[in-house]
Order: sequence, then C-alpha cells, then structure tokens
Amino acid sequence: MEQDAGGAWWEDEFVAYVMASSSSVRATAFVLCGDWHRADDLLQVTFLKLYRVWPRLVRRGELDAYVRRMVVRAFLNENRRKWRSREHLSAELPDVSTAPEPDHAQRLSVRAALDGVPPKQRAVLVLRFWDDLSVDETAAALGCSAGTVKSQSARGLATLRKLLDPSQLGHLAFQQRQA
Amino acid sequence: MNDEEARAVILLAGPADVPPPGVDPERLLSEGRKRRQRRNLVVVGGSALTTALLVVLVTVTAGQTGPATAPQTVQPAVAPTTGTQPAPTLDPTPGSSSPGLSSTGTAPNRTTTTGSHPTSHR
Repeated sequence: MEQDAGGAWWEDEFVAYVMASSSSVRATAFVLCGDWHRADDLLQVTFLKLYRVWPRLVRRGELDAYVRRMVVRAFLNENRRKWRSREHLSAELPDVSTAPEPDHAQRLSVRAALDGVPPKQRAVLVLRFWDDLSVDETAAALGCSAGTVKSQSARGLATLRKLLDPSQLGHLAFQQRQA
Repeated sequence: MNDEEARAVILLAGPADVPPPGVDPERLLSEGRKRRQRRNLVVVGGSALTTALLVVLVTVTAGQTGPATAPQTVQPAVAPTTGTQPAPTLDPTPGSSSPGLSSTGTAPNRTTTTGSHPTSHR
C-alpha cells in the first residue's frame, strides 16, 4: 500500500489534517512560549511525532486531544532540558510581521507576566483558560491527577497576579464587566 | 483572580493575529519519511544482529557441552590404608594361615584374635 514516491498511502490525509489544525496548534504553542519562532519549532516537533504514529492514531481517534498533549509535552521537555543542551540561535532571525494590535502595550506586559510563570503552571493555565479544557481533560493531557491540576492552576494564577500590575488587573476587570 | 479574569488575562496573552504558518508540509513529509526509514533500518538491523548473536551463542554453547566429553577410565578400587575397617571374615580354624595376610601386602594391620572386634588406628 506504499506510494511509489516513498510515501505512505495516508500522507494526503495527514497533510490535510496538518493544514487544518496548524493555526490553532500554533496559537497554543505561541501562548505557551510567547515567541513565534519557538512556537514554529514546537509545531514542527509535534507534527513530526504525529507523522510517526499517524496510522495507529487515526484508527484510535482523539486526534486533537493527542496533538494538544504532544504540544504541551514538547514545550515542557524543551524547558526541562539543560540550558547548554538547548538549541541556540546564532543568526539573526527574520522579523515576523503581524498586524498592529490595538492594546499592544497591555498584551506585551501580560505576555511578560505569563513568561514569569513556571512552565508546568503555565501549561496548566494555557490548557485550562486558552484551550478551555476541564480539570479532568487538563489532567489527562498532562498525565497528572485532577488535584495536581487544581493546585498548579491556583499557584500559577497567584504568580500571575503577583507579576501583573494591579492597575492592569483593574483595567481588565473593567473591560470584562463591559463585555 | 477568578476563572473569568484568568481567562481574560490568558486571552490577552494570545496572538491577536496569527502570521502565516511556518510549517511547510513538503518539508515535514520528507523529514518524516527520512526518520521512518532510519527507524526501520534500526529495527531491522537490530533484530538481525540479535538473531546472529543468538545463533553464535547457541553454536558455541552446544559445541562446548556436546560430544567433547570423553569416557572416563574406571580405576580398580584400592583398599584404603587407614580408617575404620569392616570386620574381616576370618577362618576360625587354628593353624590355617589366612591367604590375604601376607607380610609384604598392603593390607592394614588387623588383629586376628578370634571373637574380638577389630581396633581402629587413630
């Protein structure tokens, strides 16, 4: 059932899934690491791993949950590596052009605050509040218990509150009330 | 910070506008194929190597424990020179000489007193 170009018969299906899901997975990766280049690295690692297990995974289903879990695990593994064994960029990277954001300064300060949250707690926060997963789904994605998710979430929010400017929190609460 | 506030903060940390994707499917496929080929090579090579090692090991082991054991020659038993001896059955008739009790033989010292038990040398 192999294609003549050395590819497997399911590759078209795989490419279609990658094209459909890459933007949402990439956004999750960006919130996790706060950098488009690292987000692209995470995305590539995730999709390469997905390629290896695709035939088994398609038969079993639950693709999205599996991909989300792989992104978070890739992020945590990357942060667990020692500094010297990480990849270091030596050349100047090209700028990624994005549309100007209306509340740019606020977004930057929130991203900086989120960057100060430890990786495991950050992963919990992103899965819970960015991907809108329940406590149990987050626990399944991270491979830990629901109690751990709750405690990590509480600690992460406390750290985030400490790192954020109190005036920003008031502003956010005001925006939320208006919305 | 309640859940709604947390959600608002995290949403603010997300991208406002996602730039064009940096993943090239063709590159992804070619890299994936390369890795799959490498893994297949490692799996096939590893199992072949393991099989070869097993065959060598079995051959060597069978060669050592097989027909190489020569039959051992059985030496005739020699009476021990020391130690406790069973009581010899002697002819109780007086005057008859015992054929096994020569002065030059290797037989141990035995008392030939009729009715007495042999003494052991310690």
